[in-house]
Amino acid sequence: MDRKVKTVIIGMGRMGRLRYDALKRHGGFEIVAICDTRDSNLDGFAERKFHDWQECLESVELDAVIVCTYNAFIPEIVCSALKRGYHVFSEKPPGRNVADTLTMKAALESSGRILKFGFNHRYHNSIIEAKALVDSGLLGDIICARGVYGKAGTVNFESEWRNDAELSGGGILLDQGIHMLDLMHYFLGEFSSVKSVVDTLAWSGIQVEDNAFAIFETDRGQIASLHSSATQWHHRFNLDIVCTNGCVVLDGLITSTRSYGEERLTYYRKDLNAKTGKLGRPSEHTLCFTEDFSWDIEIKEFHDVLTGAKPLRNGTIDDALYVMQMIEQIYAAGRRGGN
Amino acid sequence: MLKAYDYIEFNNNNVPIHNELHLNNEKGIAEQFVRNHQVNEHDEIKECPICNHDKSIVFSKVWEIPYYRCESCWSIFNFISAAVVTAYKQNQDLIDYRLSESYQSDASLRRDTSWEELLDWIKFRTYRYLERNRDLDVIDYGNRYYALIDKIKGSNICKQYELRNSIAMNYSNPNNPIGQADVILYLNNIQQSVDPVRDLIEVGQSLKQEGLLFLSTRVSTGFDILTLQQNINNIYPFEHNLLLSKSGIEIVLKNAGYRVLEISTPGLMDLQYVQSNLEGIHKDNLFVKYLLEHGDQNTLSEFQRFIQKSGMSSFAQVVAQREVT
Repeated sequence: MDRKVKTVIIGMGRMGRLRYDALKRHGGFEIVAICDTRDSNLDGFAERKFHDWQECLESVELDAVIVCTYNAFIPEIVCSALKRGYHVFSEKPPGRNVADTLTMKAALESSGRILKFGFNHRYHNSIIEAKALVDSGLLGDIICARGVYGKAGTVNFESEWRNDAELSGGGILLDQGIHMLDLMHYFLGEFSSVKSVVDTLAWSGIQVEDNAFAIFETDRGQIASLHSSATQWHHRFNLDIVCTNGCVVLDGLITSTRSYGEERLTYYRKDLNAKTGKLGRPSEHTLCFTEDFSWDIEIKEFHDVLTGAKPLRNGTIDDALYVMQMIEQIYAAGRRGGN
Repeated sequence: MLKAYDYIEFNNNNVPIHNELHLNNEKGIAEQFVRNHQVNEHDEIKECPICNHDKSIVFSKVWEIPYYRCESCWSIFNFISAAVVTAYKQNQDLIDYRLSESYQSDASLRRDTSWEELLDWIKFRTYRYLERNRDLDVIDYGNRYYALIDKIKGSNICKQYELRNSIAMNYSNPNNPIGQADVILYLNNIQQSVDPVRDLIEVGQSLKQEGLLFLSTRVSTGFDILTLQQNINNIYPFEHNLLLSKSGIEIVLKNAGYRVLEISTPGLMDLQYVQSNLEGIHKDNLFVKYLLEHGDQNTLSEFQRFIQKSGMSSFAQVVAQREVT
């Protein structure tokens, strides 16, 4: 493609606006229309506006569709766009359940188009560096990983659409924990067993879980543990990757709200001879990041795939299907209480 | 921009990285050379050779050689001719001293851990940018330590190793000179340069288009240098003719046709340098005096970490790539 990619964005809430800005910064996309059911979400934009996504897809000549709607609407829009011959970039989660994801997979396979999902965390600086560090072999092989991803909650938390089971399909695990789960998959590969506890421990007014605890094991005996929480009462992102010769600790995440703290990667090597003079206090190396380029890198990757410059490596339908299957296993193995 | 800092909580029993005796002996040889090669310098305002700002002021004088500080980019430099620096580099007394058994074995003992860390860093960053860190062609500029040469050559980073512009050339003659390298190590060289852009352009001709330049240097904006100013005792002519600031590093690399991938300041020695030269702190610098007199070990460690994290340590590591032509 030697011209700009004609693109529409369906869903102009917070994520739609983030994607809009990233598309503009990239320069390789021409946003020909935007669509949202709410007028207020369309205010202030110069592009052609639609309230009905089907009318939008029928009325505009385009190449690609960016889907940023509630989870419940993602599968139908994605499938419709693919059937019309458009490439699609969709926000996560890939639907509300595995059945949704399988539906999109079938539509993709018969379309010959590109479908990429927004597993955005892979593009954060600390994750890019951690992946390079682990893959470089400097720290040996991964033994285990521990991830905590938690939210502080809000005054209106119980009435948010994310906690409406019909719209979202799940609670904090499907909304936020899915990112950590994708990272576990990214670093460790596939898991062969899952143990979990899923419950609503504090937000009694919601139909979905506010906490999910899971332990996974790979065929190689590597263990991963995940705690996805809507009761952290503080925004927190923390991922430790323990290896045979050292450890990587990721702490904080640069987001648009800057509320998850400075994004840092600290690593240290095993030092049994206490070269620093203190056993248990090996020399630490810390990389810290003050800017978030993840949205730009992710959109660039989408553009590179559309123009044939690079193959799709992240956010594939297989990545999407894998994490959705894991989430269903976590729900099936661990759900208790009244959920 | 990536910010990076290292943190090593050294026990007091650890051996310091620098040997005062060797440093003083090197300085003694250097001073004798410098005093025999005095240049006619005037204290007038000079243009910064890095950013071309028209106002540079005298920062310090060492053995009558003035160092200037650019008021715009904060780089520090002297105005010595290339011929004098070449003669300094060929000073046989200094070469013999630095290649002596006692100097080399002492350096090996004191620096072994930091050299291991350096190799780890190169392996990590090479993988980060090239997606491989084995069997690379490596050119190493100016390395004068036999043990470090052996470490690099013996690591799995290297397929071929070529040493250039080093007093230890006889220790490591290349069988097959490398035309263009995957990795060039340009460690602690630029601080001796009188024309860094020209030198880096020349270096770049031996670097593959996608190859990596690893550059390290003392920087002018480090805590110890700005605190001790003319009283810092380990910056001297003609060993140090140019101390670039962080922005100076970026300017020089850009002008030499490189793209800076990252600059980090993981130096660990700033507070140690200042502590070992307390009388060199200006009498009006009360905060630093108070900090060093009253700060406990934890406070001082945290302060050093703050310096590193904030890009204000006086040791910088840079990774750069040639601009696509």
